[in-house]
Amino acid sequence: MYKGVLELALMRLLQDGAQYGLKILDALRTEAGLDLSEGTLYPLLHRLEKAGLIKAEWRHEAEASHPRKYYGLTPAGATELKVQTEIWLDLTGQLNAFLQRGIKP
Amino acid sequence: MSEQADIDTWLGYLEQVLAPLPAAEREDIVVEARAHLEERLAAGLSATSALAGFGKAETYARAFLEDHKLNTALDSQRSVAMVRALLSVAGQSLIATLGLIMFLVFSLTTLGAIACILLKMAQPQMVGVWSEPGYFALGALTDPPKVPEMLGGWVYPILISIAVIDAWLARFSLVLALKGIKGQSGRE
Repeated sequence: MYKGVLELALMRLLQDGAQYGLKILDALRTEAGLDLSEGTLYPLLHRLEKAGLIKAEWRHEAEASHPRKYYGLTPAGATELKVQTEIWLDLTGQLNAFLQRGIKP
Repeated sequence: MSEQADIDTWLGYLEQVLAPLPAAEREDIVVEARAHLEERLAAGLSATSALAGFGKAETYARAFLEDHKLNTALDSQRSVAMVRALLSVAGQSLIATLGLIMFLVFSLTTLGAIACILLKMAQPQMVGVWSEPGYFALGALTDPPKVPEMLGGWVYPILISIAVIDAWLARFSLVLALKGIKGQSGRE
């Protein structure tokens, strides 16, 4: 389930624009509160790229000493993100209501 | 050893353990890791801290290698390659184990049907369907009952159908298990 959440958060991040690995890692840690490592992120990016949900391109940027591999969402990824987001919101909505049952405000 | 040398040593080892991958894919993974690590070093992190997130090179490489093995097996559509790929992950995957069991069951029934066809050609009286009140037998019997065999020549198309359908189901079990593992690896 944790990898499913990572996948969802990652695709949501890339919906805002293409990013490279290090920035994705930092954004998922700080913005989404996900404690993931490089050893989890890069194989996941690789797998999503193979699945056609994201696409990658190397960019040579002036301020960087090395080319950076940028990842962006594909149309198939955008569709998958929409479906998975609806499932997630429905699931967590129901679970939250269940957990808060009987708790007085 | 300098910080940069530590990084270079780790990347060199990573390249070695990724050897089964196609050269372009391997280079892609190593160059991306190098860019990440050197950017961390430039930001003031030590090599040890920068490498900690990647873990051991062989551990980091494993996910790429397993994914490649499953993809290659699926793309090849060869049963031997698919069985090998499933065997390599059967210890950690219930889906792989179930897929292999189903493959074994359907393969054995395929072989059994083929054996029955050959036996029917050599010893027609030993293969068929026998039925009488309280007794039913289907297949090959060394000591067939005295009641008349029911199917005669029709046993051939039936056995051929069983062999073809079960051979297809055996292969389908492998494909299904591989696709299941690939889907599961992203959602666990």
